[in-house]
Amino acid sequence: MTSRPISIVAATGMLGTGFLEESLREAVARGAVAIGCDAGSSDPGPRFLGSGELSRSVTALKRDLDLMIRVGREAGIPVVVGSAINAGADRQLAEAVSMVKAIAAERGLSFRLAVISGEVSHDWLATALEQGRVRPMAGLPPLTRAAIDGSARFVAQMGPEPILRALAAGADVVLCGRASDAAVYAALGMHAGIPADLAWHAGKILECGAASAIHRIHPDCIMATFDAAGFTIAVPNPKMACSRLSVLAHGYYENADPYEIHEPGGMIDLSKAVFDEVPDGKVRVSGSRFVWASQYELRVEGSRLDGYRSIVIAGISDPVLLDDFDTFITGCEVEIRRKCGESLGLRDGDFQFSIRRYGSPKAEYDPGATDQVGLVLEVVAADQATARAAVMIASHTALHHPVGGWQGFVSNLAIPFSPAAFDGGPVYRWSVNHLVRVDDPLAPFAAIGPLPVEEVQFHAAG
Amino acid sequence: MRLGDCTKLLRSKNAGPFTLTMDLLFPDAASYARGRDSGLLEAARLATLYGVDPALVKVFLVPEMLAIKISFPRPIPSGGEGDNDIYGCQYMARLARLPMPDAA
Repeated sequence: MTSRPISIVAATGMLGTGFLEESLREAVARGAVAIGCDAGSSDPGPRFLGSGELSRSVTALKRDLDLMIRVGREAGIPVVVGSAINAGADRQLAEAVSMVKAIAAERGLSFRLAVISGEVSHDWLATALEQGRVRPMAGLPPLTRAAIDGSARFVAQMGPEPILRALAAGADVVLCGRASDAAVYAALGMHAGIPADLAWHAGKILECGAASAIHRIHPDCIMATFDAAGFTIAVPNPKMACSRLSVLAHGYYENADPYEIHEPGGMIDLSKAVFDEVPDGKVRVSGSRFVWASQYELRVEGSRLDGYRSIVIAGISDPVLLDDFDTFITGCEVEIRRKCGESLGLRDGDFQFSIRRYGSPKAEYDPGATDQVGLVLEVVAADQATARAAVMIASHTALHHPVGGWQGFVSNLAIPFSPAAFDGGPVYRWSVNHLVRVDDPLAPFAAIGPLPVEEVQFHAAG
Repeated sequence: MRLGDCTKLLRSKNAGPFTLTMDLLFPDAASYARGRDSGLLEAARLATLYGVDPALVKVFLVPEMLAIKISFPRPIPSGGEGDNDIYGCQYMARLARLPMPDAA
């Protein structure tokens, strides 16, 4: 077989958001030697790291995994999933392992599965802090022992090294806990012999799936085909195309700096990258560089439990009330705090209370829309029962709080639901977003956590 | 005319849970120059608009793609107490609504 250019395909930008089976098969027909997918992000907020629950439907996640694994196994090419799933905590990784084992059983498939934990322990981080290996990301305070002790869980974003080790050991499917999004593809590229300069930059573009297309009609595959000095980005779905600008612009999405993208072990330097359109809606990229850092740093994320949330959603239309809306809201807040003390024995420091406003009381009335100003009454307290009790006091208070322009007993809230209160469950806050210097980029991902790297010979019958 | 109307895309998003980044993509060189020279995108002015420390506001001119990127620490971290926008994707509105100064 003559040597064909090496291509790598991203199934989609986020596992569980879908892609067309035809697109993935087209990418493999064009010579993709590996399939990657990112399955997590810090974007949906700190709860998913703290609690370890899944934000996406197992059905949708499994649909994407099933297609990736089947197509990968048919073609005999590796499949790597990064940040499985959501936050990439061990509990979420274990869910991914269950899904993959179920798929293997249902499809009668046999393959080598590698599982790499991205979770790091309190002790590991405390030791790093004691050894002076921790520094904050820009704008954050230095890490303290109290912040570590108060956190529920930590993950470290792995670089390509642990993934490369699993691929070198012959893994057919690699499930990673928290990983740098681009590292998944950087590892697949480097495993195929692509230099780090190109593999990293291509990875940064691939990690969001078809988002680099001019019009991303729906989530779908994207691929990079490498040559000696660069790579060509293409969307295999014929209904989507890339332009120079669409690929360039995507490089800036979610990155604080347009030219320097910091990754585990170094920095993708885009200052000399050149983007050229080539026929059929493709873009060739050259001039990419990966600048190795003198010291290898991992980004560690942590999240802490801050209480339990209950909310009430309501609308206010009364024009007399809205004429003096601020007085009404301020008066409500004072009275709500007084009654939470009276009825529940809560002092101000015992709970967080806010009234979020949506829409302006000064807005012109639009007959085609609602005439209401929206309110979300929110309480975060030490336990769910207290949060719910306090938010019910808040809603009852606001319902009947006097309005200066009216004389007599008033009822002020249009409440759309019965019961009025909704429990939001545990509330987490980001507590750690720090860089930790390591001597060995493999070490945290081998030794820490209940799911260390393991090569599993997995058979459907087993 | 508002600043947002001079761009073909004005978007904001988290760059990690503690940083906001905004992209202004202009349709042509004239609009890019107008946006760049409008005085609306000075670090001090942006700091006032978003209630952040001006020393931490970074403005990047990216002429090769007729783009301007703005990054600064979030006034409230994503999901922090009082945060209304976990993804940071609607912080763009304040910028998009700024009236453009009349063309010289």
